[in-house]
Amino acid sequence: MPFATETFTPGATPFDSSAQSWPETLSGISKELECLNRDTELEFLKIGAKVSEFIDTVSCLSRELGALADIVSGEQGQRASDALTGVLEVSSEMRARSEEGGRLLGNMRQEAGRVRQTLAHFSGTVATFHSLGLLTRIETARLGSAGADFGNLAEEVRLLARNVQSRVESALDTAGELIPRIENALQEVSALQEGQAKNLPLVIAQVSENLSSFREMQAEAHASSLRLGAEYAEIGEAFKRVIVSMQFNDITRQQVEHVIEVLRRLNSETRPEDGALLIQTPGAASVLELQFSQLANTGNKFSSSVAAVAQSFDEIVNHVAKMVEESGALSGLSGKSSFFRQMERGCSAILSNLTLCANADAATESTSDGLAEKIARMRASIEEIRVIETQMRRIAMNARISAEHLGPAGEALSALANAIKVRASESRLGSDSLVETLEKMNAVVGDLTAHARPQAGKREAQEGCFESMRSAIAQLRDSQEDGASQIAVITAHGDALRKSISGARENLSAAARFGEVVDLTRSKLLAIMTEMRAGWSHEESQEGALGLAQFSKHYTMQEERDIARGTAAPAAAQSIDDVEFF
Amino acid sequence: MKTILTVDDSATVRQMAGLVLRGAGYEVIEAIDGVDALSKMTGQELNLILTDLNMPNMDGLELTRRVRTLPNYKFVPVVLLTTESQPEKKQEGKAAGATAWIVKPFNPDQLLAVVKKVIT
Repeated sequence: MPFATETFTPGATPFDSSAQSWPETLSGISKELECLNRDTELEFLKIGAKVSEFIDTVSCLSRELGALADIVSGEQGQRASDALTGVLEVSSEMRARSEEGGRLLGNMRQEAGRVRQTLAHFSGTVATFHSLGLLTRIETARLGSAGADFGNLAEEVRLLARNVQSRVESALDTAGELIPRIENALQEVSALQEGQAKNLPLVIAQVSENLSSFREMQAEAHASSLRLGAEYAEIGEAFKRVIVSMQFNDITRQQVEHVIEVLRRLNSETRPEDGALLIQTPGAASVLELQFSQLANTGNKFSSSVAAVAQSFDEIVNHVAKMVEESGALSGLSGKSSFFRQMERGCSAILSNLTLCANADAATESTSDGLAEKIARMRASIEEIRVIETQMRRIAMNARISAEHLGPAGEALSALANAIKVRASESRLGSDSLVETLEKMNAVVGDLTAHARPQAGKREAQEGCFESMRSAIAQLRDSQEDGASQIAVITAHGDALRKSISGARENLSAAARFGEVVDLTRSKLLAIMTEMRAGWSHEESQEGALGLAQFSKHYTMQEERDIARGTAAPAAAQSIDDVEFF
Repeated sequence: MKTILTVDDSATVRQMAGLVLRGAGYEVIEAIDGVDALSKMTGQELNLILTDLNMPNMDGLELTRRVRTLPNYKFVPVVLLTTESQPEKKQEGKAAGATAWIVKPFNPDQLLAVVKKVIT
């Protein structure tokens, strides 16, 4: 390979070989190269330690950011979201129950009004019947004194009138007790239900809005997590490239060691025929030319590996900056402590409504129990009235028969008998209506009782649901508040890491030093080779008497062998399988 | 935790291999050559040996041969990690009892894939 094709890095110090002998120069070169190998390895070890530190810090940063995003988008956030959804469902159920309770109470109020109306009418009928009874007794007394025999009609009317009076009074008393009680209970329960009806829609709207905002926050945090994950993956890839590039130090170190070994051998081994040092023989020029080429390759390889490390560091710095920016986006989420306080207030409002609902249910249940008993008592009184009504009909019939026997003298009694019959029929209609109303009331009471009766475990489940919401939101708020201070720490970590990596990148002085030493060495080798060429003929300089192959036996890389063969073929070297299993 | 012995005269390579392997959860013991490796193997229960080929004092091929004579290490995988890529050298490695051959510079994912595949 002609020397003329080789070029030097601009700025390299030209070497004046005349000041030293070739062996001295080679010895000096060997020492400088040894020193270079030692120094660059030390510098690479320092960078390696920094890389290890950076990887740990990035990993820690990623964990911290992940934990931050996880507060809202992770398991904890999901718990809060589930709790909010549960609470919304329970609140909707409560509203439906409240509306149903209101409807049942409305029915009860309507039926109670009917009872009151029917009893008022009944009361008039009883008064009329009382009067008719009195008139019947007067008329039978008058006719009796005229010789008519009415048997015990007068006595029966008297007893019946008294019974009707007492039974209806009893029913009226019962109704009198029942109606105000119903009214009071209805008022109490209505007040509770109205409170619920007024508050619950607002509370539900608020919970619904909170849930919707929270889901938006979850989506934002999730998107942020994905972006963080992507940045972290990019950083991971950049670190892998750094690890690959760093290993070139080992490769160039070996190449330099091989050059040192050859130079030492040229300086220490002798030609058998005359005992001359190999460096003093013509073939040494070819050997030096090879070392010259090996060093050129080494220098290029080293500088490109350091450039790759620097580039990877730059990429890492950029990705770390993006991660820190992402923490800014997450800080937007963590600044929502007021949102969580609002959620907690909503939670308390729902709990108050739950208590209201429980009170309304208890009041309804207690009202229902009393109502059922009162309705039963009213039913019993009405049954007695109905027996009396039958008796009235029979008495009216007897009175009419007696009046028929009396002829014109019995006309007044006949009119009274008709009136009694009409009143008995009216009374029957009234009692039928009352029975019907009471049955409806009974049905409504049954519905109310069923509505108010606590379902097994339902209340506990509802309370558990609210409690889990309270605790999930409280935890979330605490975590968010911790997260806000954590972001400051993360940002500081991120900034420190960026500065540290940038510092390490700026201090990558190995490439410059390596380049300088390699260029200087090559300059020295070239100077010696030039002197050799001047002293020997071209043929002598090119002769392979020293046997280049023997100087190549320590090569450990295909690339070195390729250079030795004068056929540098990096493409061929790259095509070799990097991994092989035996 | 599985333990890997990395053997290399280059401190940089030991450092990089250690970084990758420790990061993947392995315990790593380091040795600077074959002689150092054999002394550090005493009393250890290793799951894999990752060794350079060209080293002073005792190279990777000799280390592999010696390891295969030790009853406790007869079946422990030995992965040669080297700048050498000549088929003849690979054949020597195979004959010595190596399990796999990786050419430097190694890619971290590739190294871990090989380790995962062969580790006992």
